[in-house]
Amino acid sequence: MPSGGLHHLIDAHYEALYRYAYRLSGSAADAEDLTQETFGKALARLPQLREPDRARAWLFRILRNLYLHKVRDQKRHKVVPLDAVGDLADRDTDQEMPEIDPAKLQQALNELDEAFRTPIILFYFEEFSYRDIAEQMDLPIGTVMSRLARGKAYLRNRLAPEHGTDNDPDGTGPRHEKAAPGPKKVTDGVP
Amino acid sequence: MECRDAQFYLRLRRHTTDELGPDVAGTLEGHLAICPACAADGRAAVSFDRALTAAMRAVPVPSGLREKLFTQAASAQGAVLRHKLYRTGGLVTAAVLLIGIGFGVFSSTRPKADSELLTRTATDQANDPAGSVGRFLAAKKLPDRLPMPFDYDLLVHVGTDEVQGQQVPVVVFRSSNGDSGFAKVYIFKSDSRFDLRGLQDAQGSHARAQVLVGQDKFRGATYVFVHTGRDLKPFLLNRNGGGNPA
Repeated sequence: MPSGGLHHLIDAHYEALYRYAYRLSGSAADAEDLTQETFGKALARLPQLREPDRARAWLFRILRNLYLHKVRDQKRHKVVPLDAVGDLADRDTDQEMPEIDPAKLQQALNELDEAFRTPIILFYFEEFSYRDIAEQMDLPIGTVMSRLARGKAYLRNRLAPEHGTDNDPDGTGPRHEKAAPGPKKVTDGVP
Repeated sequence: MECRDAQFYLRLRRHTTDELGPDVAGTLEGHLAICPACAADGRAAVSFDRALTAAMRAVPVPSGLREKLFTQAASAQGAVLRHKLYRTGGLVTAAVLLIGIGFGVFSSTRPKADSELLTRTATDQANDPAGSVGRFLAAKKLPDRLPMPFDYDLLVHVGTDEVQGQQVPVVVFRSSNGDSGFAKVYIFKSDSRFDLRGLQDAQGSHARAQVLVGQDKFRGATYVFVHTGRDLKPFLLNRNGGGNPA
């Protein structure tokens, strides 16, 4: 990639990277630092970028690694254990979902373990396929799908109007989660 | 497809690019068409995904971030370029130093050509060939002239040749006949040994060799005349006189 490649990369991806960093870290300052560090690392490793078409995934991967490195030794916050959370949310939700408050979304994301948060963020940016997410996280695609299903179920319960903050004053997570079992054939995450 | 499966797939269905594949997607759509509960779930899932996508992307990007990133990139690239420049400069300097040192060593160990001396010698030889031969021989502690009346206008060279492992003074004349003939006069000190046959052979099959052991004024030297032609007449002043060493 020519020397002007980094400027092109910045223009093309800095906004998405910042948003990703913000959703991962939950902090504007951390997001800015992570974005800057990502491009710093990218400059040093630019010759390793063999396929410019994969630049977006490459940059997202660098950013996530930097984030994980930062929080490795930190217990930033109490995360909700999702072992008890099923793949499915309540069924009584046949109504139009109102607008979600981005701050509440961030609060809910912060409560999620990174292993569930990252696929959710990448999924809802709708720029990464399941396969892309699996490559980002070095996971089997089935595991990614399973985590997504569980993470979405949690968020839906957490953010649905009847389960808003008013109904969850202690912020300890959803009380109405049902450990509804998924189909037997997908218990390992592979449909 | 059962409701339980349908609900699972509804969570994984993407509404822009469906990655479930045509088989699963088709079966799921078929089930939603006949199951009002799952169809309601499907609508709710679509609605939830839409709301969550909008909220997920609702992150204001700081206005100065782009400029910060460009400044940081320029600074980092400058540092990289400087690093490369310093490294290249260092290599060039090292190469120049090595070449300089090598040249210095070569120059200091190489025998220096004394151009002034060479010029003086050549001029001297051209202006006073007999005198230059005499001074050369005297410098070698030999009789200061040759025992034969050579025509010094035919002088070609005066110096030393390596003969059978020793440096021997030699005076070379060209032939007055205008051909490529030559006469070389090697002057050995009397106590030195040499192989006359080998000396003759070294000059070519057409050369002859004669030896004159110095007497009187020429005592202490042995002269070996190697020449083309039958005798030395073409190289002497009195070319009509005797052509053999006295």
